[in-house]
Amino acid sequence: MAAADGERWRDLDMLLTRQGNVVGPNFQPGSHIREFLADCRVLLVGAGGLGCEVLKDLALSGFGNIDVIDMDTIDVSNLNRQFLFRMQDVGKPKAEIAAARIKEHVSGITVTPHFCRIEEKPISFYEDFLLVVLGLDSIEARRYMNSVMCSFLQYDDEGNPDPATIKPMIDGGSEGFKGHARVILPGLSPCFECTLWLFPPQTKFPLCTLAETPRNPVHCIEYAKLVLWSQQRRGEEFDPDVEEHMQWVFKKATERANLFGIQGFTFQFTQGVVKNIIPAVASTNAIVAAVCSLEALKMVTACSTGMSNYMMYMGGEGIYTHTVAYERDPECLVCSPGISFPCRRDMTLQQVIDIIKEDERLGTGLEAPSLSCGSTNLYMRGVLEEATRPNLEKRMGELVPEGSVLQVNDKNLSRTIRLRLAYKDGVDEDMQI
Amino acid sequence: MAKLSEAEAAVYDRQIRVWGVEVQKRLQASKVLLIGCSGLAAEVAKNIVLAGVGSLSLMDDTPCSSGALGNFLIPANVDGSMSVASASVVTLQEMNPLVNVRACPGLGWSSELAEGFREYDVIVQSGGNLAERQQLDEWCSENGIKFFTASVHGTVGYLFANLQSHTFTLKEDKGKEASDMCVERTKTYPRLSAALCVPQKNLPNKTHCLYFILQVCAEFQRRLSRPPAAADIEDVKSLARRMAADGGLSERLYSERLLSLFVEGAGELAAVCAIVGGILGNEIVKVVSGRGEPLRNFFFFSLHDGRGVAQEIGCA
Repeated sequence: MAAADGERWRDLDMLLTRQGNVVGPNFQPGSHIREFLADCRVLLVGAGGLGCEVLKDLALSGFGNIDVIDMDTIDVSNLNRQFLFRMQDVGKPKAEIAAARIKEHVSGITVTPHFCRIEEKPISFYEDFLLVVLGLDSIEARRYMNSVMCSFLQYDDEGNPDPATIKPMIDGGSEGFKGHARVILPGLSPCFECTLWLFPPQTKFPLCTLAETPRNPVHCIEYAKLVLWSQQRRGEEFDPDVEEHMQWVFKKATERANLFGIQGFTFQFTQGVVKNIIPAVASTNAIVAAVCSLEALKMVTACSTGMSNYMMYMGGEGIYTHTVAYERDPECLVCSPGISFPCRRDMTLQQVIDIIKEDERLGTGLEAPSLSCGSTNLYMRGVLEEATRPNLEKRMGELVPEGSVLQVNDKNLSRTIRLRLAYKDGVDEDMQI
Repeated sequence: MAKLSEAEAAVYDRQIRVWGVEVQKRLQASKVLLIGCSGLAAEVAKNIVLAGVGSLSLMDDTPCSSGALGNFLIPANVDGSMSVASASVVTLQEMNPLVNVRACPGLGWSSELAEGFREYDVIVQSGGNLAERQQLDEWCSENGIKFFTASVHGTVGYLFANLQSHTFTLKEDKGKEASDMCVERTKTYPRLSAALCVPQKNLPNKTHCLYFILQVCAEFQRRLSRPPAAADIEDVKSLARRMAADGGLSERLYSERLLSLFVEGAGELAAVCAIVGGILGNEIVKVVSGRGEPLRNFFFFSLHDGRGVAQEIGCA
């Protein structure tokens, strides 16, 4: 068994049992690394196009204990790339089928599926993993996972991240012949929120264009879906998965297009617009997933230099990759040590809470925030409300020293907002954050 | 050509949105042969079976019991006496029942098998030594069959394409308002033996180190009539040093470390197979459909610098 084992992992052993020129700073070659790989817990979020490929690569790279979470069931249109699934699996949970099937092909590994939404897991669930790999298909889901993983991050008094609280993420994405892979080390490299500006704003068509002067098929489709549906099928909720609803929208969109001399779109195109379908092929997913898996392997074993920190792949015309070292946003709401919060010492805690709630950037989603500073509870909702209520009338200068980091929590937020107090003692300044 | 069936349209929906119905139909009419059924071949096979090639033949009589396979298509509890090709075919067929997948007996090209090879549009050789690959490349060139050869050695991999004279259409981007124009281009490709003979002093500075390593292996094979094995490493290194000195090879293009890794050839790292296999999968789609500019003519990947580059070497 041992001999066969060595034979099976020959490629990995070559990498992990020898010194090299570009190994990580703490790299100690030896067979103990492969043993560590076999036991360490890794989480894969998403068992779709990227997920299936990452699961295969991780399993073949020595990772022996993988959890997979995905809320979706298998659809026939997944089968062109989500190769762990078969026609008879349509309708079944992706996470469960992926886990079962990979174990048929790679022996001796533990793969634990979770068929649920990522929000359904308690935050503590995510803390148990050494590393999280994301194979998601939306910005919202990525932002959520990013905020969860960054919420574990603690800073010391000098504003340095505590290494024990850094929970790495590897994020991949693909569409058609393009894709990306990036490595996020909260506190060290930019998190997802730091680089939100990378994404173009969602296209929202002006209503007058849709209503008066459509110029292309998408305008007609949006008009049918938004305007005509609510006019002519009042009370019915539009469901793109219902064939009749889609056909109705297509028919109305086509009629409108004909009115305006707009041509050339199919039912398939209409579906793509309405359901926000991402065109996808197997090979791009294979490449992006492989890059992600290599980063996972390098990160856990330190066998080579990790990516710094964002790689783009373009395979449509030729083969092109480009790696950029994006920078962190020092004021990032999610991963920074604290956004500078100027305030007067003689302000009350209640006034500070009001300022935060009214602030455009910070106040979004805040309903009933709790404030603490380190281990000191300043004002807490819930069981400690009554006990901490008197603090609301106290002045900030009495409660916390200069440079303190206030932590703002709210049940609507999945992460803590950190505010670094900067006391200003001028009388007439407008406090602006 | 006939319209796509309902089943095809449903399964291939997401990729038709990428490359269109025409390309899909041409894919479905194509015939591909993969010689060698290792980890890399498994990746290529998966990608083109999922893409919906007309038929795929796999050739590799190596029995599954022979140990480290690195081929994820083969189930863990496989019958050891089955060939790796046959075992892979079972999984591939399940992955996409719309494709005709079969195993061919044999371990590689031979003149006896040549007649049967004429039916293929594309042949990919991922097993066997450089001399064998050069031989098959010559035969393909003479018979108008598109040829690829590729390998992954541990943490490095390469891909070579010889499409002889290849005509393809390209979309020329005329900007947002005008519709894209389709233009037709033709490019010629050198044979492998010629492509490996570029004098070192003529190599551009950014040529991947793996190219010189292939030259060294080809030279070793020429002199000793066999490919270098792990035990030959010291001889290979002296040969490399002599060739580098004689040829005036720039130091930047010579890596003894990479040479050792390549020759000692420890398996195939899964993720490297997936990268090279993904690239090759895309290339096969472009080649059989005639749409889009294919790789000309080498692709190299190395884990150590994370670099994956396409390079033209030996092209006119």
